[in-house]
Amino acid sequence: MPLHRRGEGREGDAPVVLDVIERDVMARTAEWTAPDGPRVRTPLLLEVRASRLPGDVPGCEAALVPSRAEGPGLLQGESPLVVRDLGSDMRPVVPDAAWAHLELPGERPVPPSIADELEGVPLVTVGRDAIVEVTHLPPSPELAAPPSAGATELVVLGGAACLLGRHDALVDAVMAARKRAGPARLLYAPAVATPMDLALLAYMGVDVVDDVQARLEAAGGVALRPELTHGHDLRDAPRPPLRGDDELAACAREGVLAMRREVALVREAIARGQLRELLEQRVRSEPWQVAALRHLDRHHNAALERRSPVQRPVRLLATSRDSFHRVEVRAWVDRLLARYAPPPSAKVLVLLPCSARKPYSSSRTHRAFLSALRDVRNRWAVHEVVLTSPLGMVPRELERTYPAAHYDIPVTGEWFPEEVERMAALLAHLRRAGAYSAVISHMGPGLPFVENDATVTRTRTGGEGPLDAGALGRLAEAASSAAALVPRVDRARRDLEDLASLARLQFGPEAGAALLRDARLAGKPPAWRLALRGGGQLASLVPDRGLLSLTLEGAERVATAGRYRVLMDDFELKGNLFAVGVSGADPEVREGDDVAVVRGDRVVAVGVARMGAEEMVGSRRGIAVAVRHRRGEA
Amino acid sequence: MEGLAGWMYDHRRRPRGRGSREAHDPGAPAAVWRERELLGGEHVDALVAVLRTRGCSHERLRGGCTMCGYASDTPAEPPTEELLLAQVRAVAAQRRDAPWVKLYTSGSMLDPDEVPQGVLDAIVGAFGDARRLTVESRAEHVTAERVRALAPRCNLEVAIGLESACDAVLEGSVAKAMTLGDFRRAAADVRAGGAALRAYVLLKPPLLTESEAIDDAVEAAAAALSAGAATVSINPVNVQAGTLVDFLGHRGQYEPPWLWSVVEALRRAHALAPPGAQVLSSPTAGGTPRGAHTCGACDRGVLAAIERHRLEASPRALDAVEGCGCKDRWRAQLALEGLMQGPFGPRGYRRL
Repeated sequence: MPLHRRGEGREGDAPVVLDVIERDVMARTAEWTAPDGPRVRTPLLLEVRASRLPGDVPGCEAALVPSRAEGPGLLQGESPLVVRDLGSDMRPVVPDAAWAHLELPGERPVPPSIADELEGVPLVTVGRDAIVEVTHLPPSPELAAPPSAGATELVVLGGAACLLGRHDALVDAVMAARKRAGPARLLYAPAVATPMDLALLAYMGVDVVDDVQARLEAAGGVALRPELTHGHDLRDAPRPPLRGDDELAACAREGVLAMRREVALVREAIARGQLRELLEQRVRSEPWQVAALRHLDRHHNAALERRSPVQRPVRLLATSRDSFHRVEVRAWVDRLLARYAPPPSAKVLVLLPCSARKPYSSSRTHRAFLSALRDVRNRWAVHEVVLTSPLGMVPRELERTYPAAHYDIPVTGEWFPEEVERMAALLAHLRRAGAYSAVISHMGPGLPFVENDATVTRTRTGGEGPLDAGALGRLAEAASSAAALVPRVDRARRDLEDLASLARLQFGPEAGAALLRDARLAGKPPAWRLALRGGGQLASLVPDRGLLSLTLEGAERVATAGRYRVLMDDFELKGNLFAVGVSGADPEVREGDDVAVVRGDRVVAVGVARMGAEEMVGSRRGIAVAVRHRRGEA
Repeated sequence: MEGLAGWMYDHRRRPRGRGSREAHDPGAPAAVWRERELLGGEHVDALVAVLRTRGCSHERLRGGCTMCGYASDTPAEPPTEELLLAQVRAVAAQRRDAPWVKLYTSGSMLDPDEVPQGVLDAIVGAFGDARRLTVESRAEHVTAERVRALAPRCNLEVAIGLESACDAVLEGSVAKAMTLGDFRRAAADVRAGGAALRAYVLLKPPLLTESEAIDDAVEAAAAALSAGAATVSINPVNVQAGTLVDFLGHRGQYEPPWLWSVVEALRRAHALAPPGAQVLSSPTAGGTPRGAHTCGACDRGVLAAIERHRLEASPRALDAVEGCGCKDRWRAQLALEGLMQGPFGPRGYRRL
């Protein structure tokens, strides 16, 4: 695959005003300073300050003021970012209001649904301020290029409100706009945020929202909340209640406060790497939001995956059927299929159920499995593989990697069809890739692909639990008799093969093999070190990360295989590599990956990527690689 | 052809399903009905008829206006003069004693390519005795000569669709192929020709916000009154098949106006009317999802008030509208919709 290089689109012109602080897939919290404005944090809530509306809540971080307002109408003590919307007026409005930090353009683009048939009508208008661009995007991939204006800092998705409730159109438009904006620009989706869909919008990378919907619904006597859908559906209501101004103002305040709380919650979830968990709860408030999430997972998985981290220090809660399709889970399955092959000397496959406690081997059940297998003759010919959901399959040697060591699911002993299907597919892949002489299943009931396979020896045919002494005895016995029939495997060789498995998963088959060439193991499991036969070290396994940390020599090998390189400009690297100094990156680089920093044709440093390849070359701010070792260091 | 007009031209010629250009009796008018009207201070019956002509020249040449679906009333084959005369006779047979006759086509009565002079003569012959005979025409077909050829023989009122007084709206929203200047010229010719002037004004053509639309309608009413219109009729847009409005509506990018907006526009325009001039509205498809509507609970009451205002020509009729919770929602929409960065079709109570 070719390198991502800076400036191939127009990302090279990206502005340098956005400091991303935390990332969670497409979502981020960032700090941004508008011209002459205060520094604000995203996801940012623009709160309407319009004189004709009741229910302002003091203390907004950013105000959205309609074009016709005489002034910002701020409440006492407020000094927010003031965004003036020049609205849709065909009549000109007074520009250059001294009180506005930012003005959204007043030109009205023709809707894309007809614009693409109108010759010469631009889809994009550039605001008077030049840092604002309003774009109306049809869900069409060819329009998803980066913005034409390099100075653009804020991209506004015009007409987004018309897509509310139309799950596929809204998701496609936001994702296209997000792509167009690139990582260095803010994306504002006007008049679509509610406390219910805010997490979804943030998950797709919307940085700026407003409280327009909350204020509209309040005027109909509805206070928006995140947990429940409307108190009454306006379209079905026999008669909207006639309420006093005080009541309507109270609804507005409640709705605005709910928006603020949700913004705070989303920021916290992003910081903790748990936005997906929050999102899966919130989308359930409205059917279209669930549909939108499913559409996003199904049709935009690749875009999400490019921004996903390979490691997170938090649990991954797979608590809904939608979790089955979340990007980290699919990435795991896809990586297994693309990169994984079982250790060559492992000839006896043992299928084990998962445990709630992770990594599995720290759990009571798996300690019992390990103890039963301990005395197996030729034990290192045995390959333990956990069949589980939603990951499908976790080979023992990968149990410390993300998300194998992090996921948690509701366990009822019953499987959904798609769970069985995924396990079956991965097991079939495993058996094709490996040279197993025997397959032993210690799985419980409900897996037809095991139960109907006469070649599989089953240890729990009588409905016993996994810790049943008889079943464990049969497991040991079956493993012993199968292992006795295959060539003897010594432990050191198997340990090296297990580490090679991890290296392949982390760096791909070629680079993984290159890393392992003529290497030997040192140290103690699980904190293995990968050393050169003649001295020197290539990598070490950090158990908490579940990944290999490369040395310069190790990075050299990976880079020579043409993988996981980050190209830097020609300057002396001191400390970390910042995005501004990145000139290219291999496209497979993800946040959390170990990467080789390459200057010219020399690996000059090794470290952990703090952002994916796309963002490294698409932005000019923030640490791209947290450097661990530099060439020339003692 | 460029811009919206080009889009309309192409859109009209796309193959469509059932319902377009169905076979009709070419000797019968497209529609005939009666309605109550205010004429000279008293309530009278008006006979309204739409002749089935070859259709609007603007639609034929340029695709027509973005909200107008009258092309579906137009037969595939242009009717002969004999058939048009038969239609006039059929209308006359249903007149009974209606003192006011409104005779429309789905185009322009004063377009000689659409309505031959012989048919106009027959119309004047049949309805010359009416206390008022209203015909409609696009501005470019109005000349002092054509008006003068009819006016002495009947109590003629010529109706012209101004729609908007803003040329940007006329071009970029309505695709009217007319400017305010064109309207003023035609209005002057109507009066010079000795006829009364009636003007139609649109409320909420596509791509305008609700509040812009109200301002735009009020300004258009003012422009029509100052051009000498004796009557200004504010027509809230209703969603007709085969139009841009319909197309946008299906994409969530257009919603018909609120009836509250009609009331607001009437109230403001009424205040501008000089003595003797009348501002009124009779919302087509009012109270339905495809026409101007409110929450579903108060539609009838608001429509009744608009109707009373039309028949009483008194602003007090509008004050009598009962309050409803949805009016707060409408007010909030006016305040907030400009922040939506268009295209405009903010969610109302009832969707198409």
